[in-house]
Amino acid sequence: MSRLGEYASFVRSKNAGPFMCTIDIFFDDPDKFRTVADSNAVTAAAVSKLYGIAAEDIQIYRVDNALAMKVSFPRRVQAGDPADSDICAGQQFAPILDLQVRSRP
Amino acid sequence: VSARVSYVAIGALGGGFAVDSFQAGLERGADFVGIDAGSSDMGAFSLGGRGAAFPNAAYVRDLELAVMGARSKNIPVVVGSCGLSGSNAGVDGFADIVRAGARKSGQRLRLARIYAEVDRSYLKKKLQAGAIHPLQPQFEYDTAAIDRSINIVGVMGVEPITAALDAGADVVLAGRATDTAIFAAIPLRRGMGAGAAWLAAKTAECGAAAASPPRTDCLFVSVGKDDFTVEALSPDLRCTALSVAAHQLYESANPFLRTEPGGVIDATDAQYAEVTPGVVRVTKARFEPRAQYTVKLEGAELAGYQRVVMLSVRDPAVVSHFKEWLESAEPAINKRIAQVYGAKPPASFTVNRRFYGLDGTMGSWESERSAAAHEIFMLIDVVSMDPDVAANVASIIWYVYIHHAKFSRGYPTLAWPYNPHIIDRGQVFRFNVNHVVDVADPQEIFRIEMEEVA
Repeated sequence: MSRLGEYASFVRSKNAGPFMCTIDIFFDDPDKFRTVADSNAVTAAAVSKLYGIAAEDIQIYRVDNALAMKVSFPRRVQAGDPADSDICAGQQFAPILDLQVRSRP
Repeated sequence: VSARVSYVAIGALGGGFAVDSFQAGLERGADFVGIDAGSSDMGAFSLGGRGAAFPNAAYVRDLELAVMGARSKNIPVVVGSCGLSGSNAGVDGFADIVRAGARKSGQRLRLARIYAEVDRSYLKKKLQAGAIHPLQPQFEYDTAAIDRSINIVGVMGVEPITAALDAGADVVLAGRATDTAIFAAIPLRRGMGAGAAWLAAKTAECGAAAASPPRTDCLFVSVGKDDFTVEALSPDLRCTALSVAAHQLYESANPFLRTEPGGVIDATDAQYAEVTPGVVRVTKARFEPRAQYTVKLEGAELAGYQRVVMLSVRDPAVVSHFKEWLESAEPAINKRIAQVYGAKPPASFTVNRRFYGLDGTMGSWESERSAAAHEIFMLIDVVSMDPDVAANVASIIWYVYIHHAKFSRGYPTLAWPYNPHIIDRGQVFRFNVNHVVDVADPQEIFRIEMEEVA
């Protein structure tokens, strides 16, 4: 087992409109991309456990031509709400780096 | 009729772009300049009436340069979501910049202002008729929310922009618009392919963010019937098949489908190829029109008046048992609030506490609970409809915390950086609508004003 952060070349998070947060996970190596994408590491269940968000609110996408995976879910509070702490949601990706990837033999 | 329509895309007006890149795009034979000035990402303050993303001087530099450059080639300029929120004040502010710039340089031009603020009684009728529908995540929108709104805008599609160009506009200053409508209007008006025009617009809306390395600069886009190409305009930037494909993910919950007022952009089968070094050709983009045209609404209401206090603690005894320290201070805070206000303060209030070094950035989403910081920064604000209550409660929390002696034998004092110690942030806002309204005519919400600027 190893961490998603060891496979991805770049991971970012951002608002998708003021009510949604979206995380993009990029790979510069097609083999690493396939290892992660085929390994079932990035799932609604795993993200749910990590962030404490209901699994049915989490969308997961695999984007082959961009060597990327995408995870989208509703924000904790809307962008810019007085209780917000990350207005563009730019730092909310950090926990996902710790997702566990089971590498194939 | 030309077989292609090309343009220079500026992704964030006021954030800057290189003059050499912009000029290179004009010399490449751009048919227009498209500029996105808006976003709802930065919160509701702009729609609430508290200004734009950048200081006015930043807009003056970028907008004057863009308009004068385009006029020198006699090509139109389309600016969308003026002043960040696309409010009427945003459009008027940019119009002042364009008029002053034209006066300074002796340019004559035909200016279109498109206003996007929505009439409240119109919206209430739509609400009654069941023509307003929630988007995800869903929440209630009712007449009370309409009445509470400081400002409501509709997010326009290409049609009002096209109408302004049909009326002969050289410069179009549009209120709130979809990022893509700004760049798709002219290619569609000149008969280019809908799939190509729309996905090109999605690629262009952040300028050279689609290049490698991504940067705040302009992008050159050429749209045909069945394809579009993109390239960076600065010699140290390069678009690659991967950088352009990757950019489709940016700020979209769904990387393949994007809903516009008149249909859906579908990038599922899109193909990206670097045909010559730095030039990426994209094919097989689709646009699926929808029978019902919908306009997204954005509205802001007052959340209250906000007062902020900042504190930090370096004392290892407190840092190592911070949660315990914090909880033990709570009774003293409540007791002092009751001393000042009796049983009930004159207005309700909300306290927001962010503890950096602990979970300040992530809040309840923080997964790392074991890391030991050596100091903790406390950013605390109080929001109330009564500014005095906000100020008093902020002051009470600050004073209780600074001398809270849970882990001290003596009388401790925490650190704070600023004097005065309470920061008055004035009014703060929140969005109160995430809905679309069904319209019979794509232009029925929007009002176009034409003027000759000499």
